[in-house]
Amino acid sequence: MELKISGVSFGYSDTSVLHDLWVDLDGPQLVSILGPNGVGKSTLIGCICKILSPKVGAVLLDGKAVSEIQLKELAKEMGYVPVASSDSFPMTVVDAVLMGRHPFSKWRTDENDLRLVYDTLCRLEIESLAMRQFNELSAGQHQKVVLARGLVQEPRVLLLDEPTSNLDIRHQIEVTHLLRELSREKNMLVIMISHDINIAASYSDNILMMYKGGIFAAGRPWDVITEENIRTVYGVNCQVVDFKGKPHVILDDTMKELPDIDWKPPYNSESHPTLNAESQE
Amino acid sequence: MEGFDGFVHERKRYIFRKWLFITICAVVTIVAIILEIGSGKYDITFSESLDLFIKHLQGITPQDAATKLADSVVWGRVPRAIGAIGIGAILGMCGCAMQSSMKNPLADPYLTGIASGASLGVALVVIMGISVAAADSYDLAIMANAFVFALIPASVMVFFTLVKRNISTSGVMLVGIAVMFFFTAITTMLKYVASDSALADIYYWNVGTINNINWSNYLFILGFGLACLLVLQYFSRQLNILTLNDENAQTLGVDPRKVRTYLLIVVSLFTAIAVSYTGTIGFVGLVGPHVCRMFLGSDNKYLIPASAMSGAMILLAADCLAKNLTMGGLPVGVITSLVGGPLFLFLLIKQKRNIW
Amino acid sequence: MPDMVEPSSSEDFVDKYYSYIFLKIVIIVGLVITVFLVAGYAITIGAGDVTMMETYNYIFHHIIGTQYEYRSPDWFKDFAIWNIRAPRVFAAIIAGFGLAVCGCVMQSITKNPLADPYTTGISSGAVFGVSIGMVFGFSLGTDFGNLGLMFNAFLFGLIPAIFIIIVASNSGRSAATIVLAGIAITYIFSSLSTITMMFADESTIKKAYLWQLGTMERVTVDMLPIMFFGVLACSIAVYVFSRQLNLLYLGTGSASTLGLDVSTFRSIMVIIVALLTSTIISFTGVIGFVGLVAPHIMRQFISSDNRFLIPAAGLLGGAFILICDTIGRSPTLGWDIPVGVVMSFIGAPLFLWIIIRSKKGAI
Repeated sequence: MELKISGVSFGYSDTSVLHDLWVDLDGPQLVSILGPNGVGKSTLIGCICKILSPKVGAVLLDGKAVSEIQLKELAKEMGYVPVASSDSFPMTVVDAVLMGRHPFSKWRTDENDLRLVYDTLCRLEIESLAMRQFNELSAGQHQKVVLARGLVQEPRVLLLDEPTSNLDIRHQIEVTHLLRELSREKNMLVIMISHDINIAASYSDNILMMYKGGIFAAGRPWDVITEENIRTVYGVNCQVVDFKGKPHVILDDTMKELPDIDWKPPYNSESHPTLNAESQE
Repeated sequence: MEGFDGFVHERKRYIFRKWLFITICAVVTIVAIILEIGSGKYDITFSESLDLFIKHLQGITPQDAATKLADSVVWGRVPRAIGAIGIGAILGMCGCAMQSSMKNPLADPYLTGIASGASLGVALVVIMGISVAAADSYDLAIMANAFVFALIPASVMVFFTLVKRNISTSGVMLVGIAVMFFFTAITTMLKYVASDSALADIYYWNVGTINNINWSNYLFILGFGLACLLVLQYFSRQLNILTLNDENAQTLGVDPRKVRTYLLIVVSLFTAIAVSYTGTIGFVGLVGPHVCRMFLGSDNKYLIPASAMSGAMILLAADCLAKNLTMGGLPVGVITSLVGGPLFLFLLIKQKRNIW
Repeated sequence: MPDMVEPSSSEDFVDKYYSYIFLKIVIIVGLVITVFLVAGYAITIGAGDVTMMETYNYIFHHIIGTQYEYRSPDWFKDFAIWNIRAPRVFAAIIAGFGLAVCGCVMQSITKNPLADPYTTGISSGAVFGVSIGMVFGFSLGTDFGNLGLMFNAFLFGLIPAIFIIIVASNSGRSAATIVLAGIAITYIFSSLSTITMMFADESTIKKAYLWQLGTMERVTVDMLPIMFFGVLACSIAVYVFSRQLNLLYLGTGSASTLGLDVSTFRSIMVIIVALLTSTIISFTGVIGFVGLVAPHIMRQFISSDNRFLIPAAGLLGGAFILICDTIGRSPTLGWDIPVGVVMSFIGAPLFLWIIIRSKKGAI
């Protein structure tokens, strides 16, 4: 299974957001997209799952351009878990999660679907909320339900926009760990936007660090998360240490002024990285 | 897996409650039918009408003159009852579909400008004698005009969704409203120059009545009602997905714009059919779905049939009341509003959780 | 979308903000001038020759109290302008202004773009009052005839508001619930009107229909002060609260935490809208369209900030009704077209055109 981002550029009418992105994601793995606010992370995800149409370039899933795939077919392959604050409506949690089975479901809700929903709820430790009303939940519970909906879709590619932003530290770790496990278990390519550099570094196979609408660095956590990179991209001084074999960032303080370097994206059609899962575990 | 079984059990109970509500509605509807055929100029008691109805269905011919008379009276009212069910069901279902599709509690089946279009069509016939049907029958001319003109605003709305690709849901509704104002203006001009009696005619047509349903057309109405149910039930799953915002709906394989446009067309067609028979009976299509939502939640799979039945119930009940209260003088549209309105207000004030 | 270029200093930023506001004020001033000019022109229409400059002259002099010799040509002109033509023109401006302002308020309270001043059901109450006045001669005023009808319209128009307030006063109620209550009330009162009409003969039905149609004809110069001050007072009251109205857009939760007592505020707003709308209806009948559409149109140019939207929409509403009324009674056409009809004929296509041309996502 292969997701190729080939020369994707996107902009709204007067502003350009993404410039000429090139990267290949090969095989099931957990990829985290990091980067400062406004750099285009959500936009990139939007382009991948066809919510947004790139002005230039294409996203290819197993060789086929996403723009050519019918919406209903694409929904069977790709799932999307939106940022937590989007809608909230009166419906039971079960029904809200069951919606994720829509691309597959027949008229009757069959028992397999229900079993899947139940298992997913248990894995996220929210099975007690099953019959509660969706719009009466706390922000963290809400986020887990939306995550469950995406998981239940059993897609080959799962895109998540800040799936742990409202969760407490225990659940942040658990959910990220779960996403990595699932990528192995279900052969899923999981792409998530994250603001927590350390948790992302602990569990991701690969990291895409974005900067000014392009890919600044892509590759294994040790290669991407360096003091130099963080200083350039985020404008933050830090120390990177080895914790249990993974890079761990200790934040120092912000720089007085963001370094405005003349930066050209290192990747283009001739040379761009192909990322795949770590061979161990 | 004890946990899973418990989960399934809970869910079954939850679904059962929904079906219970629908069944209760169905039973009440049947009761209402019997009441309906029993009431009118000659009042027949409930048990007697039930008896006569069943006997007639079994093909037993009554022996004595008195029973013969009662039988013919009761049986004569059947088409009207069936008509009420068909129309009420169509209005209820279409209202439900519009509310779910537009995610707006202000939506009712006439949102697509049907009422203003139909009024214009009728006004044209009554005041100017113009009709799209080259029919000699006055009633047929009114029906044909009402139907055709009712669809024009909806066509404009569909046109706008095609021409302006990024129009929002509210935008489409505003288009419908703009067309409605335009048509109402034309109608107003016509009414301005109309004779007093023509004006009264139009006024009563607008309020709505079931009087026009009889042996020649009741089967059509029933047929349309069933067709409407089948079509909207087919869309019910997609309607559910539409509750999400448009982006999410897309990622689950549902194109929101396409689905909304289809629904617009379907609702307009069926409502226009209903209106051409009975005029614009208000309230049924707006409030029936709401009440169902209060009891059933927002799953359209159950809401659509429930709205159909509650619509039928409301209309039947209103017609019974209309016949009983004023010897048939009061149009049914008045009763639906007068009785239903306060009831609905009461429910709104007492509701604990917001359904929107 | 974040702009890639940030203002280079805080002064720069402040300048940008002020010029942004300045633009809005320019638009509002432009509208005021438009209204002024159209009013002047409108008064010149009618039997007898008066030019625009003369119009302004006479009105100015009348306001400062110049008296003319009885039955002199000046006196005739002054009388014609002030007593015959001006009332209609002023009434149009005032009514349009008031309705548009109510529309803004209703759309903010219900957060529903389909809301207008009549979403509260006031118009159906007023129409009911007029129906029973005409059919049964029942009036709450001391006078029968037109004044009695006006009283009926006004007082009965307030009854729906009472119900709405009961619903709106519970802050847990979503905005949608308020809308629904308004709809239910509208249904109740229109059916009551229908019942009343059943006791009427056909000519009364026509009379009732014509009354509620929406027209400036019935406004006389003695009524004008009441109408003017009523609408002025209510509009000022609304404007005073325009910042709070803005808060309602955030949702009841956020608004409360920003210090707004949502339930009380909504009730107060409904009361003001009710008074304003009822007042206007009792003078002019039910004029639709402007209360819904004027806020939408101005939102395209001014944004949803009520501090600017309210005066702008009000002025647009006033100008629009005035223009339509003037067209409706222009001597070139055969007869007197009711203002609501002209508005729909002109306004609907105009509105549709604006929808086509609006920016992505704006409508």
